[in-house]
Amino acid sequence: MPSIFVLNVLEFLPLVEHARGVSEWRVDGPRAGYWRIHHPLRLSFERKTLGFKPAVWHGALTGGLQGSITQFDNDRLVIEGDAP
Amino acid sequence: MTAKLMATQPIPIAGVHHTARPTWKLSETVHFYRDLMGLPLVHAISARGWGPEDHADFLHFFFDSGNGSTIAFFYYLGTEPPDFAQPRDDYRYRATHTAWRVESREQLLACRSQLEAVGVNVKYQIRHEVIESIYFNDPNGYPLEVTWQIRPFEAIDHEDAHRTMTAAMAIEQSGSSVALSHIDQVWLAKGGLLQAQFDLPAGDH
Repeated sequence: MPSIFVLNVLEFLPLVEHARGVSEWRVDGPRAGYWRIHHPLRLSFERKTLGFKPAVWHGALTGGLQGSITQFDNDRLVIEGDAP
Repeated sequence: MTAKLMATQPIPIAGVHHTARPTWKLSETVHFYRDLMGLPLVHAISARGWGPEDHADFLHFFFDSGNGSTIAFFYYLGTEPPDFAQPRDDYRYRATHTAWRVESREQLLACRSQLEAVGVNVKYQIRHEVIESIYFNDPNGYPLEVTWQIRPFEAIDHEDAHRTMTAAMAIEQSGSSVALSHIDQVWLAKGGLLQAQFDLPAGDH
């Protein structure tokens, strides 16, 4: 199941706020200082929707990841399935 | 893995006294730091070369950069810059840089305005996770940064840093020199550890 872990600090909270607005996604936590965002099949994020500047965007997964990154460019991030 | 020696307590340092680098542009360097940036010239040594037999005579001079810190230079008389001291347009060269602190975004913007008013080319202004910075070069090509920290580092940051670096070092130590080649490896390793935390029954974390 694709999951991302988001450190519970101000600069990364747009990920959590966005996830809460997507009905099929689940947001758990925080535990041990992290939120977990997950979905059975697929998570996708748009940089501009999150309001992330490039430096923060490219470190958006620094909290940790379960799954496979199938797209991660300057504007879009997609995580699917489980890591091989 | 063999046991490693570890400090029983931090060594008793109290911030930056000076960082130092060589220059072959004496007047330009003094003009930039003292006159354009406004950092007071607070100390200068002029000496015959000593130590190694081929050590050049030198000037070693310091500019006050606040809170007891200084930025210092060596000027080696009668020498030419070696290849390793040539500035390069390469992110790996820019990794070695000096970043000074200001206390607010207003001060950061004031720094930018003041630098630009005296002709300094501020190349970038970048918002990072916890800091926002402006970037520029001195006449030697050395990368400089002024930054303000949006919030203090707290326990949650320390613990996260520990998790990230532990995951990365474990991969580095696991095999060949190219074992740590993609940041996804670190994210997955860290995610695996955190997944285990979330799999614990509530109250056990």
